[in-house]
Amino acid sequence: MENFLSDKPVAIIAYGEVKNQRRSGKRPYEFAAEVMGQILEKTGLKNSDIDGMATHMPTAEAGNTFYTNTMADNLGLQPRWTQLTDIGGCSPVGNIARAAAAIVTGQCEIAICLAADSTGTTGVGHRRLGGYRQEFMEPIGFQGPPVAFGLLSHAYDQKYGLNLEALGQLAVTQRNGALANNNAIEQFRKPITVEDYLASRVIAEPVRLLDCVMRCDGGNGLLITSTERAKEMGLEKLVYPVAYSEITNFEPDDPNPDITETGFATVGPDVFNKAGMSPEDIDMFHPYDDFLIAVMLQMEQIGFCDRGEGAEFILGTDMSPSGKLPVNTGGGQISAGQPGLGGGGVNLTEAIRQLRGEATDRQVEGANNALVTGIGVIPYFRNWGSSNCMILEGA
Amino acid sequence: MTDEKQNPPPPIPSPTPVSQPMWDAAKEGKLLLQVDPASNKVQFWPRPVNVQTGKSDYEWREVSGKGVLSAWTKVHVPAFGFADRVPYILGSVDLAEGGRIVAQLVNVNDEALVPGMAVKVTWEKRSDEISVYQFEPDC
Repeated sequence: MENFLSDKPVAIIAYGEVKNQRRSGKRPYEFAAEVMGQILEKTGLKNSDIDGMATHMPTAEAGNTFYTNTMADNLGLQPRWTQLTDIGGCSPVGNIARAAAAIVTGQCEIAICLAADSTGTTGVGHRRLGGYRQEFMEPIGFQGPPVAFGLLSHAYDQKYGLNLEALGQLAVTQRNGALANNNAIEQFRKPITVEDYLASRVIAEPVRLLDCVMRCDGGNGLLITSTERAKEMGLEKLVYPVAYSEITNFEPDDPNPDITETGFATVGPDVFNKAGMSPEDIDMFHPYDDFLIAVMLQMEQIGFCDRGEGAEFILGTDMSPSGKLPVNTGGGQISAGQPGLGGGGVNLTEAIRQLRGEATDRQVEGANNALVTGIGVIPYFRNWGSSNCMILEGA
Repeated sequence: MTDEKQNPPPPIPSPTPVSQPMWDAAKEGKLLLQVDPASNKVQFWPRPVNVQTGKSDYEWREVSGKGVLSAWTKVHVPAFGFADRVPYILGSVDLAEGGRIVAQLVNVNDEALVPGMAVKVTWEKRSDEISVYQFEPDC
C-alpha cells in the first residue's frame, strides 16, 4: 500500500493532557473540554477555528449513540468532518491517520482528536458491551482481560518459556517513568522493585496485579492540520506522522489460531516498509501497554527482537530515557493509569511530548522519532482484535 | 443456603436467533457447532455467517465434545456470579473436529493438568432452558 504520509503533508501542532485520576466524578466531556482548553491556549486558536473532530467511543458514554453530536455541542464546535473510532486502544493513534486523510482530501483544515473517558468513575459496564461477551464469556466466569492474558501468557510459556524477571524489569522501568510524570495517577507515583512485582497478588495465573493496567479517569488530545497551514501559522515544534499501519480481526478464518501471534506481525513490518526504516532506526518506543506481556510480544512481532527472545532483549537493553531504546518514558498506562478507552492516548501523548522536547526530567536527548502503537479489544480465545503502529518524527 | 444478593449465581446466557440451535442441543447434552461444509472447519461461537465464505452457507453438526487442553489459567479474582467457585480454572480446548472453546475445567485439580491432555465436554444445568458447556478429563 502507498504511504500517503511520506511527504509529511500534515503536522501535529499541539497536544493536551489531563492528569489521570482514580475517580473524579467527571464525565468525558469535562476532560475533553480541559484538553481543548490547553490546546487553544498553546496555539492561540479559537474553538471556531477547528473544523474537524475525531473521538473514540468511551466506556463511560457507551450507550450514547449520539456521542459525536453531544461532544461537539459540549465544546461549542461546528465541525465539517467528524469521526468516531471504536477500535479500543487503537483509536487515538488511528484517529491521527483518519484526520490526516480528511485534511489531505480537503474535508477539513484543522482537526482536533480527542480521547477522554471516566471508567474509574463509571466502571467498565461489561454488561452493556453486548455481542458474544454476554452469551459466551460472562456465563463461563471469564472475568475480563486478566483471563485473556492468563491464557495468552500460559500459551507463550509453553511455546517459548515465560520469564517473570524480565516482565518485572519492565514494570520497574515503566514505574520509574511514572515517578517523573506529573500526569501519572498519584497512587502509582511510588517506586517498585522486581520483587514487588513478583510478590503482587495473582489475578489469573500467571497474571499478577502489577502486570495489569488500572482503569481511571482522564483525557488527552491533539490538534492536526496541513504542514503548509502549520507553517503559515508560524508554529514550531511540529510533530509529523510519517507512516501508519492498522489491522483488525487478525486471521478470522483460523479456527485454532496460535494466540501468541498478533496483528503486529503484519503492521510492524508494514509500517517500517512504508517509512523506509527498520527497528534499529527507532529512537523511542511507546507501545500500548494494557499488560506487560503485551509490550514484550510487540517487541518480538514488530521486529526489535525475534520470537521468544523478548525477555533477553528486555534484560539486555537499557529502556530508561537515557538508554539505548527508551520505552514508555511517562510510565505507560500500567504505571500512569488507563483513562478507559482513551488509554491509547497516554503512550501517544508521551511520544509527542518527547518529540517537542517537553518531557522535563525524563527527556530523551536527541530523539527525533518515535514508534507508537495501539491494541484494541482482547477477544476471548483468539488474537488481539486490532493492532496499529505509527511512526512520528520531530521537526 | 446461598445468599443471592452477596453471592449472585452465574449469569445465564440468552440465546440469539443465530445461536438457538446450539443451546437447544445443549439441553440434550449434545455439542452442536457451525461447520464450513467445503473445508470442514468448525467455528465457535456461532456467527451469522460462515467465516470461511462470508455467506450463510454453514451447517450445524454435532461434534464429539472431545478435545485437548491447550492453555489454561487458574482464576483467583472471580467474574460476576463466580465468587463461590474461586479459585476456578478456565481452559482453552482444541476440539477433535477443529475449533476451540474456552470453558471452565471441572473434576480436576490444576496440578494434574498438562498441555495436550484429553478432555471431554460435560454440562452444567443453569435453568430448564440452558445448560452450559464445561470440560473434564477424558479418561
